[in-house]
Order: sequence, then C-alpha cells, then structure tokens
Amino acid sequence: MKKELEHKFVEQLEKHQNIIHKVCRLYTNNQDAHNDLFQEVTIQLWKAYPKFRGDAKFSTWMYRVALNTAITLYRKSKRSVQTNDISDYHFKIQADEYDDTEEEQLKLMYNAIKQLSDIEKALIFLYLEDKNYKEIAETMGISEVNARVKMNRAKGKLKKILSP
Amino acid sequence: MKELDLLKKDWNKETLPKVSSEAIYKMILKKSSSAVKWIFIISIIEFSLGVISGFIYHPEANSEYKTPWIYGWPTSVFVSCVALVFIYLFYKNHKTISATNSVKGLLESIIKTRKTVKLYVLINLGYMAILTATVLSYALTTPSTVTGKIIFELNNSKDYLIIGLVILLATVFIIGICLLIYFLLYGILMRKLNKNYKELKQLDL
Repeated sequence: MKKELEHKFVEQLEKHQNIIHKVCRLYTNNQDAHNDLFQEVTIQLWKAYPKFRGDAKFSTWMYRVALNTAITLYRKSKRSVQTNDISDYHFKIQADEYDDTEEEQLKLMYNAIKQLSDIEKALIFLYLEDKNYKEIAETMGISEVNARVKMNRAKGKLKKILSP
Repeated sequence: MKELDLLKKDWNKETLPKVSSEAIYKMILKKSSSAVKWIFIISIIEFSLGVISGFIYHPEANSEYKTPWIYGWPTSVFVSCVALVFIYLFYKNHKTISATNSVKGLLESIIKTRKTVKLYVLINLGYMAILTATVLSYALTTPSTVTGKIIFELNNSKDYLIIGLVILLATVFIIGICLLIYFLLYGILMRKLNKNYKELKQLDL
C-alpha cells in the first residue's frame, strides 16, 4: 500500500517539479540552497500527501506547500553559502529570438525580485504563474482586496528598485 | 509594468533543472529540518523540564521544618493537572499545523502553538518563584529553623542585607543567562515567521 502511494507521489512530483524549481529560483541565491529547498519542499509534500484528497489539482496543492515551505518552514542549512551571483546558476533564457538587452533586462528583474520581502516574492511568483486574485488570496490567506493592494505595492516597489 | 510582463512572457520558457524519480525517492526518506520541527523539539524539552522540575523541585524537602500544607499534595495535583492540560493543548495545536494551510493560516497555527508553550513556561516559573519566596521567607523568619536561627544569632541587619543581596544577584544572574540562551534560540527560529506574519497582519488592518 505504502509502495503504491510512494510510486504515485513520485510520479506526480516528477511531472510537476517545475513548480518547486521556480519557487526555489525566487527564494534562493545559489545551487546548494536551491537543492536544499527543493528537498525540504519534497519532504513536506510527502508528509502531507496522505491527506491530499485529490479534490484539488496536485499542482494547485503543490503551490501552497512549496510557498509555505519557502516562506515559513525552510531554514537555511549550514552548507548554503550566501551569494548574490544569481546569473551563475540561474537559468538561461531559451527565447526564440535571442536578445542581449532582453536578457539583461530579465537579469535586472530577477535581482529586483530578490530584494522583495518573502510575502511580496510569493505574490509576484503567483502573478508570474498567471494565478487570478481569488487563487492568490486563497493561497496567502488574505482577502482578495488585500491581495490586490499588496500586489500593487510589490509592483511599485519593483519599479522603484529598477529605476531609483 | 513592462519589465514584469517581459519576465512573465519568458517565465515558462526557461530551462529548469530536472530531478530524476530515483533522486525523489531518496529525498522522501530524508528527515525534514523545518523550523516547526525544531520548535516541536524545544517545546517537548520545555514540557519535560517543567514536569521533571515539578517532581524534584521541593525547596522544603531537606529542611527541618514543614511548609504550610498547601504545598503538599494539593500543589502536586494542581501542577500535574496544569501540565496535562497544556500538553493536550500543545498536541492539539501542533496537529493543526499543516503545510497545506494558507500562508497566513500556517503562520497563525505555529505562533499559537508557540504561545501555548510560552504560557506553560511562564506559569511554571511563576509557581517556582512563589514557592521559593514562601519557603525562604518562612525559613528566614522562623527562629526554630536552622537558617532562622543563624539570622537571629547574627542579629546584625547589615549581614542580613549582604546575604540577601548575594542570593538575589546569583539568582538573577543564573536566570538571566538561561533566559538569554532561551530567547536567542527562539529569536533565531521565530524571526522569519514573526516578520512574515507581521507583514500579512498589517495588510489586514
């Protein structure tokens, strides 16, 4: 029974692992920390999996657990070294038309997002994932109106960081 | 916002690392190192210390005098009941902590669990302080006890004051060191949680 559950879980996680990687990308600054957070999210997901009833989509459920782990449960392990060298391990853009300026702009954007608070990062992440305000409010546990207010503030902050 | 929309456009096009199913299998066997796990471990230690101290901390135990009857079995029953109630509350609160809650809900349940333990520790410390104060004042003011005899024989208010001050300073120093370690430990664990909870709560004002 446990083996079956394990197998099903690993299969679903492997399929949807991009969600966790994207959360890790926003909340960590180097490959070690990325791997650490990925592992912690996986452990939290596995711990909560027996309660997952399947009435929500596995991916929707993953957003919650991944963000909760990054914002609340995750503690940096000793082997994680803090660096700001995001470009070293973060992802090359596979744009159809490769554009230097565009890549530079995206790099600046990542740098700006890194300077936001944990909560603001979560809102920007959900925005990038194309979630509507109802879903954002539910994930964060705040009202829809407040989610909107906070999102506008986060965007304002990003603008300020990019053009001081 | 132009730059953010540009990022959104490229958000799903980027190459992400790929973790194999074998690696995932290995990961789920590993132990979590989450903040909640540490809060849970420390809370259990706090409860154990509280319960153990209730059994071994009897300032009147080795004295030649008897404290008022209220410090006999009624206190033991009371202390045990308080410990049981708090352990039940802690267990109940801890059960509600789930990574599948909303961010705010999760933060709230962790902070509530923490508060339960904090209250238990405070009640325990208060009980010990009252017990110590009563026993000490009884021992110092009753001539039939050894300490009482010494005090009465000294018959010098200056010596009396020095003894009192030394005891007070030593106690404050030891308690201070313990509290410092305690708050540093929790400060580190709770810093991120409190900061994020405050930010979400402020938004709801």
